[in-house]
Amino acid sequence: MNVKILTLSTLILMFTSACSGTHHAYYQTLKIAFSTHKDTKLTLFEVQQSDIDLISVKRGERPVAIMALAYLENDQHKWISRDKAMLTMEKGRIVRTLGLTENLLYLSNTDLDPLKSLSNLATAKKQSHQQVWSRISDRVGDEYGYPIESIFSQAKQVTVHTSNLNIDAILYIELVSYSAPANYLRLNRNWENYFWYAKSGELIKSRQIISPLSEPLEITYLSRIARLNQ
Amino acid sequence: MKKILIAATVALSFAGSSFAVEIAGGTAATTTAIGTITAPIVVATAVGVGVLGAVVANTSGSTTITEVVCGDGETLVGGVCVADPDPTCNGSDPLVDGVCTGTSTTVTGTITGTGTGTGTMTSTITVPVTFTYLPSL
Repeated sequence: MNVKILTLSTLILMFTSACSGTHHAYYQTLKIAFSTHKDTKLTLFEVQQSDIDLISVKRGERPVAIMALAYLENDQHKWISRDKAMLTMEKGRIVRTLGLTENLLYLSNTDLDPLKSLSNLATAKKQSHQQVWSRISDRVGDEYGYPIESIFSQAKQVTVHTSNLNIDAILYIELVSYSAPANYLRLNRNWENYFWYAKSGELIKSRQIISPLSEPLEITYLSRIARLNQ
Repeated sequence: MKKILIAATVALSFAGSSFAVEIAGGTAATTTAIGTITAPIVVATAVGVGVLGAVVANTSGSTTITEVVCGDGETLVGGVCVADPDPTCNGSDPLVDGVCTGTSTTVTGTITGTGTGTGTMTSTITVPVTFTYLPSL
């Protein structure tokens, strides 16, 4: 932040000293570029008071937003934002997005998603071998039928810090590879998704990237955490 | 058998319980949500470089303004010389020094005279009137 202010001040001094008639335009442009937006934060009490289940979502470099659970249907959670973007999830996996610049239209083979068995930790402990999952994804922008493969790593004991709480959790890391040949240069063909489960087996946090060109989505399940700490 | 059925019922009720405590708000959920996840991101570095480039271009550049001069019978329209349209008069009225002259209007009068005899004569006089007007373009 201090570096940004210093840079902004230096640039303003440089540009305004040139007696240029356009210095005001430069100033306004830089002001927008360097402006910072604050994350939306709710206290544990505020979350507990909410009539609707809430999650916090950080998409890419944007500030944290709060999304609310709109619908629970067909074993899918449908979360909606204030600007009417929607994330549809199955057991925490994003299977469909609406209202974003690059939307996930379809994800195949979701019945075999290891997340559906990982949420049952008692079962997961028995599954000591690595779980591989293959699916095909359709995305906006003529990217249809792109194969994606992932391997889940062994679970790790970690602590999640959120809502001023330290929660003991189990972290699963999903190593994802985008195996389709690209029509253009694509460097980031492999990435990692993270899923944090509470000891009781509930998914409390995740960080997912839908495709190589997508921005990461970091999701924290505020209402679930609030219920765990009642 | 009875124990198996009870166990299955209990298992099923637990399996369904993951949704039981969660509350969906339907259309009202939009108003509960806060903030945006679709706002465009401004890359500060790119803007800084762009502004710097603009400043350099503005301070070191030079601009030569060429004034466009049109010839006779041309008018400057949107930076381009366009030939003036030909002026026209109504009908066969002649165009003299940029002015049309019309002669089609007549004035009539009646003269009545009495001679030394017993007859009376009436005559109509037609007077040509000219007028001028600006030609249409």
